[in-house]
Amino acid sequence: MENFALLFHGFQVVFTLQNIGACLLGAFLGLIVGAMPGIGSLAGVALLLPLTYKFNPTTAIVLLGALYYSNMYGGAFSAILLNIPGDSPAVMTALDGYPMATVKKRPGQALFTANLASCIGGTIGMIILAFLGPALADAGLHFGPAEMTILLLVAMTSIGWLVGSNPTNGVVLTLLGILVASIGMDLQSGSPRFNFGNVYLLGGVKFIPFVIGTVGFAQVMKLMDEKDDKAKESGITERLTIRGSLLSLHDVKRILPPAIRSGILGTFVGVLPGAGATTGAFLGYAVQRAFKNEEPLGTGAMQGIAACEAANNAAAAGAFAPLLALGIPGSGTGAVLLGGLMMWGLNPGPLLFQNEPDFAWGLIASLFIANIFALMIALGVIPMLLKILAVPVKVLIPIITVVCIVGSYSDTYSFYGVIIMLISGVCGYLFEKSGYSTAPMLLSFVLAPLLEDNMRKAFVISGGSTSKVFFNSAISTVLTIVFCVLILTPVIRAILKKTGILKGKKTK
Amino acid sequence: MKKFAAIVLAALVAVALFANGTTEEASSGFTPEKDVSWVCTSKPGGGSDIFTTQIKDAMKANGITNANIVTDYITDGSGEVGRLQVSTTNKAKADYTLLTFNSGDLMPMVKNTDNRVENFRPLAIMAVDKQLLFIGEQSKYSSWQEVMDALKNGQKIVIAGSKGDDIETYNKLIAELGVAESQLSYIANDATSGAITSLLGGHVDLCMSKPAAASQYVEAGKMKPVLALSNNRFSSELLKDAPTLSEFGYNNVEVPVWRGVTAPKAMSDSAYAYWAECLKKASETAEFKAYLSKNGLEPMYLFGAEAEAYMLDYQKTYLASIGK
Amino acid sequence: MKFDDKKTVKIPSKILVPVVTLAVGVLFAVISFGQYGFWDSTAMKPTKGFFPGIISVALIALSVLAFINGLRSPNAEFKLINWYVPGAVLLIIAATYVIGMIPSLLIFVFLWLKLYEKQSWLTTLIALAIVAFIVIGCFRIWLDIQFPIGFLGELIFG
Repeated sequence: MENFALLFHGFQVVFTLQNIGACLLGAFLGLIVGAMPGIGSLAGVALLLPLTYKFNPTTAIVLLGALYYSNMYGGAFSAILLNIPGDSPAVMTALDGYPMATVKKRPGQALFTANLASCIGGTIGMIILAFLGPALADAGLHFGPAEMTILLLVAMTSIGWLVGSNPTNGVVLTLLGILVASIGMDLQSGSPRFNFGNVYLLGGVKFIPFVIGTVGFAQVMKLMDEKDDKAKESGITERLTIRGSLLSLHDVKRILPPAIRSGILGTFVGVLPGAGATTGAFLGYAVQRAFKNEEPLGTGAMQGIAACEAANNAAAAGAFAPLLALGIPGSGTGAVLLGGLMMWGLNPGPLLFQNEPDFAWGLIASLFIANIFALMIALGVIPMLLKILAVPVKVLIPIITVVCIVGSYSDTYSFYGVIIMLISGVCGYLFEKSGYSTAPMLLSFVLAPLLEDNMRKAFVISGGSTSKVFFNSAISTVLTIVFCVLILTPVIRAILKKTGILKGKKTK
Repeated sequence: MKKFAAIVLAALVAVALFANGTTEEASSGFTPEKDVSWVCTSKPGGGSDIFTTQIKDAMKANGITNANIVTDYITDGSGEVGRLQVSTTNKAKADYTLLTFNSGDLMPMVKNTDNRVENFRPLAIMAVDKQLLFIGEQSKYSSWQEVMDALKNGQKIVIAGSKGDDIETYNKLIAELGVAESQLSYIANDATSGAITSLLGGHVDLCMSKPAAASQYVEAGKMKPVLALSNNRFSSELLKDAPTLSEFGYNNVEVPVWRGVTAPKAMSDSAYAYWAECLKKASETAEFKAYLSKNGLEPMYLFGAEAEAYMLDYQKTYLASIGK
Repeated sequence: MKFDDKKTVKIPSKILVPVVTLAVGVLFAVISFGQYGFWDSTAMKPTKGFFPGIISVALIALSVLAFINGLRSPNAEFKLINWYVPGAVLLIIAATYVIGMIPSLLIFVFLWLKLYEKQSWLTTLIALAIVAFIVIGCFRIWLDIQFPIGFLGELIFG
């Protein structure tokens, strides 16, 4: 109850006209920057940080919190409407969001679903944060390199669910994604690898241009086939009003369970060191596979959008637990935010809640408010955004091309980004044409470096012993068992089926 | 057609707006007349960027230079592309190019590329940082003496730290102690915060950190300094109890982590003198001193030829240590 | 247009893709095992070639499998028209070195819509305004991204 009183106090701190205004401004700007491909939340928060200079500390922190938070909303927009994920967690959103907007012709509902789920997930995350924050942060510390290694292995097995109709091809690209991700500076040895003497490759292949290319630019190339197809255009226009975008009661009922589940799951993933929102969104989506879905995931299912968007925002909220209670940022964005908070004399860390309760609870309260504001603003702009889909494809093509170029340039501040975008776009197009789905490649590209780094750290700590990695602690033992079950179940099922003991018809 | 013309015009104006700048101040025979490009090889918000911005702000607030300085982020190739570009900048542009250059930039540069300090004109060194080893609440050992005893008994000990400078310090430490890497091991993290996480969670025995990143944990009693990796004990209240290695009968291990500024090799003498003077004045401002104390950095002021000599010497020592 | 840019060409890409991934696998495997090693037995830890080494061996094996599968499936059809877009990007990059990025992008949108797609002036100008707003308004001015100004820009403003 003490926390409740403190949170209430936090709301009192935030509820001034200026703070509410700052929160609104932050939510609005964060949303727009988040929606721009290539900027993403890290650069977005860093670029908007100077805005906070103009205010007093409390207002500045409220603005900062709102910026960070609403950024997470924006990534879904371009993913759903244009199939260009604005940031890495949105890769999952695009899987169902884009088909729902185009094939199912329900773009408004897709955006609505994403935002509503984000809001639900975020709220769950913040409630958990407000009441369990410091305890959660301590629990997260128990996940050392060994535990993270196995957790990430568990996460990687679920890529198997994404590979679609042709598992071999899916795994080929998964492995290719891992190798591409290993190019660049190797952290543990401090030396470059696979850079082939190229100075640009020393810094590795950047994710944002890579994803803009593989998904977005490949999409533009594909759109060239459809641009003179009149039938494609007319279908969408009829539902472009806000009324046509509203969700039915049945829809909301469908969204709620995955959103709540993912909200809780996402919060805990967000707390883990270095796991971040992408892993959260990914696991949220993977878990959704295990539940009954009205439509199969990947074909434009609302539950798919809800599961990953809720987990994404919950993880963003969960990441605040180690950030505030321990001063440990879970991601690059967290690090920039930490820098911003410290600039204002707020020292996140073990002493924060004792020394500066006003600031700390004010920040948490402002996250709640920013969450609501971001939802309202997002809903307000949906009708405007939908107009994008009314634009004829042939006009859209050059515009998206420009966005791809500018977005990838902005990530590296150089043509290196544009060239990565172009190459990965052309490859992505060729892959998709040849029956290779690219989604698993993007995910392995994000997760594999985390896995490798944690695994190598775990081996250093264990002195090269494999058993000490997998059975390092109670947590890692449990995770290892989960991992083995996940790996062995399909194998055993296949064997049983072959021998005729099990006659399942639920095969894909 | 009018609309189109207006847009093109707007585009041209937009381009022009950011490429203009006028100045009137004079000293040492060189006056900046164009925009100055200050290259930062890490992303906005990082340590190098904050250092750069602080100096820029200090110069502006105190009217040290009227030049319009624009920070250019050239982060490709882990920063090597930016460093290569600056080193080869020539003609008039060389007088208008600066580069933030730290010991953490120098080491990977000379290790992984053929670029050397000789390809630049070092302007200044303006701050220095040193590391300490810390234990956490859950550590098995409570002092450096216990750690050394454990090493003698053949126990395995793991240190977590950041990359770059920290790895170099670690290498010097194991060389001085004469222990194998498999016994006193090191895991590198992207930033010190990752190392602190591992220490707080009890996954490693020791953590290497600079004072600024660790101070609040020391204050909260979550971490305790056990060894100062410097030639003298630290002076601050929180860290003064940490002994140096010489107190245990070894040579001290110290790898100074400095922050500095360089210019292209082709910068003219007059411009070089001008910028060294500007940086020197900036280092004397209250703003810059506040930045140092806030980040737990120690002042280390070397300008012009002194900075050049220091960086060259540092490079020589480092190259020798990696056998290159 | 005299030639038919929508004519389909059959290319055995379902075989070519695994051949390329096989080559990548072999290249990474050779570097991993040959240059970087697999296990550092003095420090008792995996080297930087450990993880990519395992992955590249797996990639080689699966590429062979995918190649065999690819032999059985029909060839994919490609059209020239899809390749206009990457071609345009290359032209934009080239043009940027001369006249700078922002003018190149605006000219690209204009030429594409007016000359290639034969759109009305109104549509073209609205599209141009949107692009100008995104590129100049959002990215250049608000987010302060420095786009290259090109050879001519350097001459005039530099």
